[in-house]
Amino acid sequence: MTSKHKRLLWRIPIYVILVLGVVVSLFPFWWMVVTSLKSNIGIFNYPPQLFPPYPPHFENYQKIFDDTGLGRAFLNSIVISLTNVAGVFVTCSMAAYAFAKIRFRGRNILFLGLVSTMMVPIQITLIPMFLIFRTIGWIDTFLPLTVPIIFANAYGVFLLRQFYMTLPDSLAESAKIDGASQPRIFASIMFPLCVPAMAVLGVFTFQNSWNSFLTPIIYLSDKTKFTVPLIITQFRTSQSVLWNQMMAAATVAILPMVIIYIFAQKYFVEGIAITGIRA
Amino acid sequence: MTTDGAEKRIQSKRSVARRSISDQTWGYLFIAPQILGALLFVFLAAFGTAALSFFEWDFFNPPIFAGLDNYRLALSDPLTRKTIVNTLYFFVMNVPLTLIFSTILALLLCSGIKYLTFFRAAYFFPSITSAVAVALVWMWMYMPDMGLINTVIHLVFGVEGPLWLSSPRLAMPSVVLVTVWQWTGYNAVVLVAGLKNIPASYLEAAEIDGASAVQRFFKIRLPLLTPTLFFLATMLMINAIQVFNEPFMMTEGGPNNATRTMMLHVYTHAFNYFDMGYASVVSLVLFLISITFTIFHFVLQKRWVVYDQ
Repeated sequence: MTSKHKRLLWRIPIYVILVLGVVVSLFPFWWMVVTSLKSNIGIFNYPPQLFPPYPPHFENYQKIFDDTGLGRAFLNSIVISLTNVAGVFVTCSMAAYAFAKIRFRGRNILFLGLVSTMMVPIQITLIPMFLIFRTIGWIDTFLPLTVPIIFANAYGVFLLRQFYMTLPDSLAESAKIDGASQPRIFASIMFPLCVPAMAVLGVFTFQNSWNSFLTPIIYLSDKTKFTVPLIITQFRTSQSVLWNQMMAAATVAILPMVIIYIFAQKYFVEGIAITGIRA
Repeated sequence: MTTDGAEKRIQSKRSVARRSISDQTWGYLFIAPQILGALLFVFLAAFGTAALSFFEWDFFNPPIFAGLDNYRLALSDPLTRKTIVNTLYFFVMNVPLTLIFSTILALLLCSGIKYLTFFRAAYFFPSITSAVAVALVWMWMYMPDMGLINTVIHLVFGVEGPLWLSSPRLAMPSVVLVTVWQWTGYNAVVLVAGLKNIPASYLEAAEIDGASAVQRFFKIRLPLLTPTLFFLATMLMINAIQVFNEPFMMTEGGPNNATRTMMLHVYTHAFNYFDMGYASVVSLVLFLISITFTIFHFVLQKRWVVYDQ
């Protein structure tokens, strides 16, 4: 046996372990979808069926949308997440561009100060923020879930600045000689070039907003304002919702991220490559 | 810094003085939204927590200065101590297990296999999904009488499985299992990126010199991977100390407070009992523990992290 064959043989157990690992990683999602398609009686079958029944019970999805306000919550979550993505694009890319390409006094100190806020954990700011937002009447609005994300996002500034630093200064210089102002240079030259990095930031921002749980549960008590994760926590104590319906809701909660992941998978991994961290 | 200054001088010579002033102004205007946000939502808020810890305040009545009363109350409360112990218990299981599993996984992924892109995508996937939705799925699988896990135990071994989340002894390990399951793939993908940065020439040179696979792992791969491991350990530590979503969803801190973490303790006191002073004290303690661990971690890195020159 040549050494090449030996190497291939060596790899068989590695593949076996890796495939088993993938099963462990993904099986809970499979089981979630299978359960969501079972009948009210089917979920109690013994031994349990590991495949969806025929015909699948799609009415579980219908029911969960009709009975729990999941549809409304889905829209709320979409609105909040997209607002955050759009807002972060504007505020973070402006600050990142200035920190990377405009010279002003105190630039390095201000940048360091901003980046240091990444080290401040949420538990230390949670209560005073709640008091501030309560005082100005923002309870039961989406503002506490969007304004701090858009305006206190050191991670986004850091990530985009890394990207702006790689663009040559000559781009802006020639426009400046032609008499273009900074906003003009930013909006027409720099901002469009930054799209790949913004895709990374957009994906992270959407993910964090969509999956966010601690802040919505603190700020939202009106059921029509609920986000998807809040609807899901309702099931914990619910007596009337069955497991097949709960799994239908969990599937709906995960679905947007699955779609984004399928189409924008490389940006998730690229974000790691650029900064080594996630927001 | 010197080149920075030189460029500045050349630039100011090149452009009209008035424009360079307006460039400065534009710079400040561009960063203003983020700087103001950071001042208000991070710096001011962080000082707010420190200030609140000296007051008794329930929102509805004006705050009363309480001196160290909140500290005395919170720190002598046996439940506070229990939540500290629980958080550390979660920490000592979650951080090492995630790091060990993700290191093994990363090494397997980098052993020259095919379909790396597929495997990486599959392992990364759980980390992008909602913690609350994932917790619900695991609650269903952990159900003592009809959950899949105990059904399989019954089918294979013919015995009744444990109560998992309802068992005071097993509840915390069950919660840990879910978090390790969700984050191992993410950490492995970061480690794979770290492993890919190791120059192939190092490993080839060692192989030519007759180093075995085990030697190559312990003498080359592992040392060169330590900066990435250090970074991941930092993030895992900070997140583990703040753990909230999973215990909140799966057990609500029960049974018998077995999974009540410090963050749950803060949440309950602040938003169920409206006891802002007490909650602020607990969040300061939480912050202090987090900072202490991070500092220790940074000091100890000299002992094990290898920074390649």
